[in-house]
Amino acid sequence: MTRNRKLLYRSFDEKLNADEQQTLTRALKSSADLRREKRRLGNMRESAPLPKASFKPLFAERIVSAIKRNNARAQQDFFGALNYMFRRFALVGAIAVVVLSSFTVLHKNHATSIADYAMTQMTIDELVDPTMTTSLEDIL
Amino acid sequence: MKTAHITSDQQLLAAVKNGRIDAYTEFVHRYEKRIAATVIGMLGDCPEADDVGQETFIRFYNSINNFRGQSSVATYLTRIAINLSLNELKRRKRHAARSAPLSHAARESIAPPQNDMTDMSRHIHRAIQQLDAKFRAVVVLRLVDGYSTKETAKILKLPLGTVLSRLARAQDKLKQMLAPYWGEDYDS
Repeated sequence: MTRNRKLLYRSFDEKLNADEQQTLTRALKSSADLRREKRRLGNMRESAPLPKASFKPLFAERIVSAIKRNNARAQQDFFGALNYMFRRFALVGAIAVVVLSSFTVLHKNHATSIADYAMTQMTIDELVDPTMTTSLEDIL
Repeated sequence: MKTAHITSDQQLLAAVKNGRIDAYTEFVHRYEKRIAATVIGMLGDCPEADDVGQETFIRFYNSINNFRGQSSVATYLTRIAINLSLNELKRRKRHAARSAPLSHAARESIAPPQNDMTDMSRHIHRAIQQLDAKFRAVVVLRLVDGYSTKETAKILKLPLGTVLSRLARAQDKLKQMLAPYWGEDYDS
């Protein structure tokens, strides 16, 4: 591309400095080719805009529906994930309780809830400490 | 609640952030034509253009809380639209590489078929569709959408000089592609 052509192209998109503008004006005066090029470029640029471009009908409404659908799905996903997690923990817990209870029943031959959790059972005597009882009587 | 009394973008966006989805309908109506010009300019008037347009507004909605207002809404939306259009062009290119090259008829079908376009406008848009993506983006933003060269540089995150040189090269290519269509009407 010659210097004058470059100047011509640039003149459509930016302000040329005084020297460049003078050079271009002189070149346009003397060259019919450059003048034709200028007209073609001008025509091309004028024909480029798409003033009536549009999407299919109800574009905005379709977007808002899609957003609502996405939001609903996201909410469902959250509660679904929560439900799934809860079910997994509940299942593991239930299995553990069943295994522990079965083990206790088979090995200790009794099935109280205290035994299920492997806690030692206290007798009434152990529960009421005799020394404590005596001192309590003294106080009273 | 109706949105007729809301005028500024900031008010509309504040309403959307407060969960008023109806305000977003108004917002989309406001920018629909501008984004349509960008996306259809990049991809031609095809079903994918509608999909990319929808995706542009859905992405903007999803990132609405990140929008700080440092650039204008139009610039922000246009940047999303251009990036999604470039992705679509890459996808097309990959697809074309895997399958047979587009026939002339297929290429014609993705050109903008707007009935009210002049012949020259139609030829220009067909020629734009044949430019490389990087040249096409510059031409669409500057010549089709009418952004200034500075705004084009900002949207594409390119130096101004690069935008100007790509614009000159793109116009030169367009001019060559359009050579058979230039008649006396355009020369007089």
